Amino acid sequence: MSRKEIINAEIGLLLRDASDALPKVKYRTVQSLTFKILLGIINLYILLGFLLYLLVKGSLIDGINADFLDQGYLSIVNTRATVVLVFLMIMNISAYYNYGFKHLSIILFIYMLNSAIDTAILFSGFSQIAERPYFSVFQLSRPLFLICLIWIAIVHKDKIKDA
Amino acid sequence: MNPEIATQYYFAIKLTTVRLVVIVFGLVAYPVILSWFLKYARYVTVALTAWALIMYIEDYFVLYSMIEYPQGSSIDAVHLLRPIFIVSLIWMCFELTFIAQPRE
Repeated sequence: MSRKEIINAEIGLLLRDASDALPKVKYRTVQSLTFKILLGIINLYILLGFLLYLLVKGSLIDGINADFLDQGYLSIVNTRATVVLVFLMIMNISAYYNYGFKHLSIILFIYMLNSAIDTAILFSGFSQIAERPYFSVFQLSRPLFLICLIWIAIVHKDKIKDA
Repeated sequence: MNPEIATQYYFAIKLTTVRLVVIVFGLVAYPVILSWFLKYARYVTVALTAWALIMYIEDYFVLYSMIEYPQGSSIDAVHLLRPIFIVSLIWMCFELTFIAQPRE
């Protein structure tokens, strides 16, 4: 058997094997472009928030009221930043495997809403918005992030019939 | 009274007031959702469970240096019932998620 025939036989075998796999790939749920954009925005928001926390923790940015941080805000942000980062990882894994994503986005929505309300209640008296510009931008853009989370839960396709 | 403890009581009361308002709305809306919008009951239950669990974890592991609940038999009773209430909600989530819904 010539080399060309061997190669053809090998390609044929490969294609035959792939043809078995193709139907499985075909029935994977494909998410919409809106879903992908929203997931990107959510990832970006959380990663930027974590970066901001690292910068403040390392005293690498100015303009933060130190008294405000001493009131316990930094320790709370520390815990929340870590929890949200871990949650983001779980959410991305869930989006990849397409399992339980809606539930996770609802839970993250509730978590972010609860933390925003807590922060507004506990720390509103300690500092003015202008004294903590970076955190204020992060807090004030929270409603947009919450809208993104609800939107992504709505546009997410659970089953093949939704796709 | 120690001013620090007084501030912690004040924060706890402020936080509890907001939470109670949400709980009242939830208790009013939940039977309506269970009766007429069973399709969405699962998501509402997940949201309520997540909120109850997050509040519990945050009170004991995140906000412990900021808030302090006053002493009292009724407050102790509520604190004692919180884990039972959360476990019940988690059970409801499992029931609504994994057990087939004949009415859907």
